[in-house]
Amino acid sequence: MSVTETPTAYSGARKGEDKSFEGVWDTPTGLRKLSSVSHRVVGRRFIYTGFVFFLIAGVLALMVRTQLIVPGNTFLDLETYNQVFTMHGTLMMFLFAIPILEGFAVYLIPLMLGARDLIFPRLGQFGYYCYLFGGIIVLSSFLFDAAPDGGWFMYVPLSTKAHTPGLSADFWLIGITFAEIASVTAAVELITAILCARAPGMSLTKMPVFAWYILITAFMIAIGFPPLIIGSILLEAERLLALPFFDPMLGGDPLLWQHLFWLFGHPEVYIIFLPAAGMVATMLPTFVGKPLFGYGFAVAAVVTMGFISFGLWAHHMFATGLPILSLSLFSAASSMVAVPTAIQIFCFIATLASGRPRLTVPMLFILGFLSIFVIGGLTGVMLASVPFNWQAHDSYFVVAHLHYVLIGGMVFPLIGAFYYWAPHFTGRMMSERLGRWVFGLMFVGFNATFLLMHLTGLRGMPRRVATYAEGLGWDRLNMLSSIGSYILAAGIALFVFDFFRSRRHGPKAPRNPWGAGTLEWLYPPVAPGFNFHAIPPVESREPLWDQPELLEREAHEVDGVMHGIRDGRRETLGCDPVSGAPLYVLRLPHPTWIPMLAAAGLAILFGATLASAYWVCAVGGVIALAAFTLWAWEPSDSGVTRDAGMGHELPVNVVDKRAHMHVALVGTMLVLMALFASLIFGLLYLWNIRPDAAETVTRPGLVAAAVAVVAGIAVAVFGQFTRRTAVSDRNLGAMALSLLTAAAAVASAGALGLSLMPVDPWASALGATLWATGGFTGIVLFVLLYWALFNAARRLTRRTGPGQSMPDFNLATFAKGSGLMVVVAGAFFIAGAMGGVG
Amino acid sequence: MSDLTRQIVAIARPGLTWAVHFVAIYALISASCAARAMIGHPTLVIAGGAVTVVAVAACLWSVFAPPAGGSTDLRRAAVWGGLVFALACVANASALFLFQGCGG
Amino acid sequence: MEPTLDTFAVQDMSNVAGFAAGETLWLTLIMTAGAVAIFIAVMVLVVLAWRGRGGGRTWWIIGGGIVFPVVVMALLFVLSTFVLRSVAAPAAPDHVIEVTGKQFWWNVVYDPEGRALRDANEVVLPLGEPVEIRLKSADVIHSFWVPPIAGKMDMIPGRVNTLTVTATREGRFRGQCAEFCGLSHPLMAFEAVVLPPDEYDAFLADLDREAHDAVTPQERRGAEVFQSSGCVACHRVQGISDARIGPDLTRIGARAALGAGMWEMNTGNLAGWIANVDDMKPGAEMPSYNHLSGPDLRALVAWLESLT
Repeated sequence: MSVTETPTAYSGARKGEDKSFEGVWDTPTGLRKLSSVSHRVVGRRFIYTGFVFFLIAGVLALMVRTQLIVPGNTFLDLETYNQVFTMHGTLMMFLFAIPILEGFAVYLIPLMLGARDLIFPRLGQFGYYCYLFGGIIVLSSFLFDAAPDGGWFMYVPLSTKAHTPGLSADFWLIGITFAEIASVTAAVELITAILCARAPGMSLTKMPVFAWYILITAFMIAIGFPPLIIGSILLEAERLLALPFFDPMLGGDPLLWQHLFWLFGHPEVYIIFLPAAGMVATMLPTFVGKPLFGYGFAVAAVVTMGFISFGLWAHHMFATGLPILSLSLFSAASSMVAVPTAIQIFCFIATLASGRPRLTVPMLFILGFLSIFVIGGLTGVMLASVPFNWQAHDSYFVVAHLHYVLIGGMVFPLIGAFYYWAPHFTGRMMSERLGRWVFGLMFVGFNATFLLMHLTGLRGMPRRVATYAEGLGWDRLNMLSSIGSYILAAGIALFVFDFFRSRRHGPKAPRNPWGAGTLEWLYPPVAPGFNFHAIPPVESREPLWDQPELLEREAHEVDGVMHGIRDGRRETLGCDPVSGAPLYVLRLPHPTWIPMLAAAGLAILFGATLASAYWVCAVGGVIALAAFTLWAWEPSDSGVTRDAGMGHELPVNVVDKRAHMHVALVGTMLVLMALFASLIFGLLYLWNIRPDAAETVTRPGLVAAAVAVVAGIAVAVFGQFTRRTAVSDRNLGAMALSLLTAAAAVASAGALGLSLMPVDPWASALGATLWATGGFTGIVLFVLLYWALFNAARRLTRRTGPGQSMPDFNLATFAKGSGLMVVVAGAFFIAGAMGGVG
Repeated sequence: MSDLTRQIVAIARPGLTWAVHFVAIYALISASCAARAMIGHPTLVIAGGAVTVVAVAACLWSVFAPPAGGSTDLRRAAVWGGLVFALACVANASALFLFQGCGG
Repeated sequence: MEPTLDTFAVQDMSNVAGFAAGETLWLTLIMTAGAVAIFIAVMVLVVLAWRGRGGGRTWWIIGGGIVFPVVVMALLFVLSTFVLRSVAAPAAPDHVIEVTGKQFWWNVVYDPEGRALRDANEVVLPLGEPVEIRLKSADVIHSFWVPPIAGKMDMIPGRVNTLTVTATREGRFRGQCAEFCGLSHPLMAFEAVVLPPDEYDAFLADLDREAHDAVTPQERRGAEVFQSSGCVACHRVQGISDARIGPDLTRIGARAALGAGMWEMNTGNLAGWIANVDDMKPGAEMPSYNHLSGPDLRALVAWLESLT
């Protein structure tokens, strides 16, 4: 590898871009700001958009409470009420809670870890626009008088075409699936950013605990969202194409939807709780003046929670008639999850004891979190008990429980976090005086609304009822809950007022206003767009406390790596995922419209599907594909080295298993594998639960399936050889092997399709799921084909220089994953052909 | 492997073990109690018990042989994580021994 | 829509009238007491931690975060499993009742494999004898829940779930659909009536006969309207029609409630129901018979009320 002193001009740079360090990192102004890819801009957008959805969903909640204030109320009719509670849940869970927390993570993670940006800035922008467009699709249903009214859980068969004609369920399925793309891309982005872009010396054990929380959350999103994505696609296919996945008449099962939904839905609760708990674990030490007590325990607890939370899904299905043995298994796991929760709570309490706590507004919210969340956790333990659950399930007891968990566990820390990190967004402090009022109103209002709701549930009031009869003992309790909800809303309104007031009139925030120990406070707020002039080596979890040299000088003069590099490029430091040792210089893209174009293409695709304008779908698909191609077509940066200062001579975008591109690909494969596994679960489930229907399915073709298995192995082998040839810079060989990989992909897809030909997907649920498995594998193979041809084209046009083999390196990993899917799918087809599906 | 990597593996192992054990017990129950009824109750109990013994052993590995060096925090996390997951595996399997048959 | 349910029974799970509900109530009380005690203890710890200057101790986390929850969870799991075993034990039932959920009412068949006695929107249970309730659905998922008697169980298309209950107290108890089932989900309730075993047997015997003959001229007119206006296409009245699309009306006049446990059964409500189903229960399959003349409607109502 050679050191190039004068790098070639960057084709991704803006016209007339200022090449100075500050200029390169400037956020474009005016309308072009929309093309910004910086994590600071994208993160804020996620946060603000999420908050707007929160306010809308909050207004819907007030409508619900107003309707229920007296028995037999006619404020809302049944249809409107059903739409209102459905949209309240949908907006809160999908468009507020997860996106806003991801927004905080996107904003804070690079600042805390010593990176100048997230390492896939364009993916961040793409995700944001997917989220925005998806959210708009869901909300726009109100304009078409087709707001979803089947509950946020969309149970079948209520949500099938027979029982919900019209477009309302389609708005939900399509809009939410689209918005979920953002959650999944953000997850991959955060995993990679946390593992690959940290300050020198920040080993995993020196990582701020917030990063651990986000890392585990991101893994949970990568595994937890795919079941719902698959479920939604299957349901949409049942609605649009009449494929009978959930139809018991044709061997389907309504419970399959519930399994897929709650396989997502239960981890979702922890996905929402963990980042908020991470915020608490970050803010608490600041106000106690001592590090988090029991860091190791907290990390172990978070990891434990990440695992166990996937074993709880069926406790939402205790009343569906599952075998008692299954219920006990899920009951056991539901009880065990109390252990990691308790560990975290006691870490917080022990931290509180280790210093002199200051009663600031964020601290008040932490105390609110502790008291409310503990109640939510305890009622959760009660619900893990099967007999009790049979009474409490789908009653107002559960409504109370889940709001204690979600508002106590997430909204309280979130509002505290706004008070804590507001200087980052506005440069000013929010009001301590108003903040106390906000807390007081929220705390009193919340408990007034939800505490006695436990009793309402035990008195037999079911959930999701638009009205109730007088004299059942629910009247006064509901009245109280409704009044409480107005107080809670007043607290939120006061918070919004304080936020806007502080933007203009709040006192200017000094450097490190709270005396925190984490790196995001190194610069005086608002921190500059590049985050760090030089990236300081880190020796402790609280560098601002333990490394006095960091705060002694002006932030610009703090010493660190990457101080001297002036390539006219956005760059940050890539590190070893475990030790945090500097590994490479990571080049980042500049502002661009392309991800937005890709998201817009997808929006057209999804929107046109809703409108049944299928040729427009094709247009949207082509736009998206073209945008993705442009996105990937830019020249590779690897193959050169740089002097990063402090004795680090680092390659640019190293080609290695630890490279960010490869880590991200592994993350993406995790998502794809989870999608694939969801389909396999569906196959096994239907086969096992309905042997009578399975016998009626025609057998898949044996020979073709066997050919597919062989071709699948060939995909993996050719992919691996492509990597080897490419890494040793044999241009022609790599090109030829890329083409062979592409050919093997085509052969695999063809053989899988041929094997499925005898199976009629409309005749049985199992047949439809076999086709869905084949179809999904086919899509993965199409991506592989496109990618292999793309690499070959780049080599043909000599766009690939020496040492620039990252695309081929990654292709090999992708090919191995795709090959595995083909082999598994083929094996299932063979099993079906040999033993007969029945 | 560095000390740190070994410790991370020691922390992750009990969790992964629990996950595999959970899936195994769920699969066994599903094989026994769904319409297809592939295995009988004795097979379910014996197979479930065997899987549990193996899983508990794998979890306790992190308890009795915590990787030395590295961070004491993480070593402690590995020990306690292993213990909690070992108990969680026992809890997963407990129903097999508390009920006769699939229990309604 | 003016539900006048003050005449109706309680829906409170603590107003125990069934074996399962009784066992569960004990469990609930124990767990609630435990939860309150733990909550107070944790809050006291928070206050002590706030005041204390001693610094955190690792054993707090091990004791409070691991040992304590493991012990409590183990106890609770064992306790809850014992309750589960007694509640869900497949006791040999003396009776079988099949209840099918439909949007938005309940079809009830007593002794489905024997006499197959049909009724709707009211479930009568014998005191002290285990009854197997077979739960089915004709359209979407519903959930069968009478809190004073037992926990809920879902009714899922394509499946038959069973719930074995033993009533322990005579009286009328209200049940309600507990799974969101569409537009009029909140208007899908029913009454569970617990009778002594001999009265239960008499009730079943009484179900197995044709509807009373119309007596007064107005009732006879009402029976004619029932035939001529198309009611017979959907409703069964034993001895007159055998359609099974809507609820069985053979003993509608004897039911305390109208519209699946929602309104008091009286002349005004029944007339209002027939003329304005769309308003009273949106999404119900029955059309509003607002084209009936006043006298016809009154006659029809009089005849239906006479069906006891």
